[in-house]
Amino acid sequence: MSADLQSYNRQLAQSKQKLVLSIVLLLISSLGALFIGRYPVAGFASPQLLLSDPLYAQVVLHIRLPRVVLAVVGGAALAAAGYVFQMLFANPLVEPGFLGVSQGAAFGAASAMVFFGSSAALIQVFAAVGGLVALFLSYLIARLLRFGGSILRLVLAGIAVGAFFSALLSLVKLAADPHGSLQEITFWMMGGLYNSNWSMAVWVVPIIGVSLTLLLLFRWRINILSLSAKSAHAVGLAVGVQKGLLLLCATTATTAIISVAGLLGWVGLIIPHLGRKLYGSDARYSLGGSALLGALFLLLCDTAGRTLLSSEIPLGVITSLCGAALFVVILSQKEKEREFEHSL
Amino acid sequence: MNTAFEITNLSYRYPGSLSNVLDKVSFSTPDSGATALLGPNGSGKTTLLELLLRFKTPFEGAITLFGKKSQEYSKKSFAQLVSLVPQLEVSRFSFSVLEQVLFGRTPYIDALATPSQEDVEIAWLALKRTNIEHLAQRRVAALSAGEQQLALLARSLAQQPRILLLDEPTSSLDPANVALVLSLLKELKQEGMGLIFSTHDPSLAAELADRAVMLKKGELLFHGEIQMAMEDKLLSHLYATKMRTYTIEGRIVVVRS
Repeated sequence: MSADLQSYNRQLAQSKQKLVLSIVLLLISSLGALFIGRYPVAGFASPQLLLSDPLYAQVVLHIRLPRVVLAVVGGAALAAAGYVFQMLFANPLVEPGFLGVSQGAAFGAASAMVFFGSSAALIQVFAAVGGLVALFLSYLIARLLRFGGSILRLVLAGIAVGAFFSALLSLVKLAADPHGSLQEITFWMMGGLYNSNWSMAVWVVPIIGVSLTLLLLFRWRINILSLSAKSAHAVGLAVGVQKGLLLLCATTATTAIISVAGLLGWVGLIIPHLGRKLYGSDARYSLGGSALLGALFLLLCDTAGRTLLSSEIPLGVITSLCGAALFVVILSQKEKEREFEHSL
Repeated sequence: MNTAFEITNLSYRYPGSLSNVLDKVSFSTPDSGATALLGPNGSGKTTLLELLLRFKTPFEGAITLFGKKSQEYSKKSFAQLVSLVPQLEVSRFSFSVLEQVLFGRTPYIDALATPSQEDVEIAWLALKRTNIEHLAQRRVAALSAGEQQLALLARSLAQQPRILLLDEPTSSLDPANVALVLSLLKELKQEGMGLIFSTHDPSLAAELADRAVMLKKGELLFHGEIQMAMEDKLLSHLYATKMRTYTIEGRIVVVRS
């Protein structure tokens, strides 16, 4: 075996080690986040108190634990979905929001708040349906368009659908009570996990779990689907069917977390870049790696948001601040600059 | 020599269009040697390659491969027989040369599986075959056009096909790289691989091909031995401009006159 082949195998082994390290880091952070908060004292409280203080146990098990679980699962979903979108569209600057999913979900959630009161379950269902309807509309409109290749058509249709739902959202806001549901809508759109509970987690976690498992199973094919349609076809893939299935999985996972946590900007756009930088371009490693980084990122942002100040900072605000900053850092680095240039 | 592709009355039109871009074309290619697809811009060369690759579905007519209807092969088994070397395309992601060549192993990898060590070794052999093993760890985007073309060729070789389809294999290369790619293609031909390539350059066809298929406005103008094709009147008619063939040092060279 030649030296180069050995060094390739060594690289793969390193990527695997990095993945294992990331999992360990995520587990430690998750565990740590459970014991950080504002009760019984601001900051870290010892796990030993769980035995002596029943209220503390209640807070950890029924408030913080579901919140940590949702942050981890949601972060993984947003990052993995963004990763898959970037690969399948062969464009490092896209994420599920490009197909109008975020705007659709926002419109759905706002409608539920204005017209059906503020039942949490109803808001989640409406947001999920709104997101999926937007995806479906983008797909249908893309088939009607007579301009550009299939990918360009999908993106153009997504822009139209996004604008359409933004306009509808404004209409709904107009009808909203300025002292009631309008404030609620604004707050929802900032995104946050502040009202996490187990009844949310029990349906969000399985949906995201199944979607992410499917995406991970297809990790080799995701590499191939980032090539031109002709090249992917030439090595034996049913390109249209597989892209459709993977986009559906990615959007379902995204919609599931948006529906309970509102709009969490930049995670799906920026984390996959870090993932490829850290674990390499091969989706066998960087898809899972991006999901782990996304989980860690959202967990850290959420924990910071609920502990830094005495009142909570909305999660979407923190992810956007960090995301935009990371974006500039990545853009100003030479090697990755090329990746962006191609897509502009 | 056996027949590889047998094309009968093949027509293609774009969905919604009323006119054929390829009209009742019939010819066959053997399973070894090289066939050049010649014709001016818009004559249907690329469409024909895409039909052979099953990337497009015929409007009318039939294509068989090794005696079996082309559509009846599974995607996987078809990709184990026929491979495409596309015109230069570079991924937007920073794949290394070895990673890209490994993509060629996909027809041998189950849907949810990943490449085995054996796949990596076959990809490595393809790199050696194309003399670019020293570039294995380099990013594809950082290579010269000639090296990128060789890397695409290596990807196709890793696919271990019987027939290689090449879309304008030398059109974006400088003379030194043309020579590099050509000598490799000649070797592959010698080893018994069937080549079908499209080209704008009749001199290239004369140098590499054993047979020519000439398309003009979607219709078959000529198919047969390359020596018969390299004829002033036929070439002038094909390109609608005066063409002349010369023999220089035993090689046929075609120029506009």
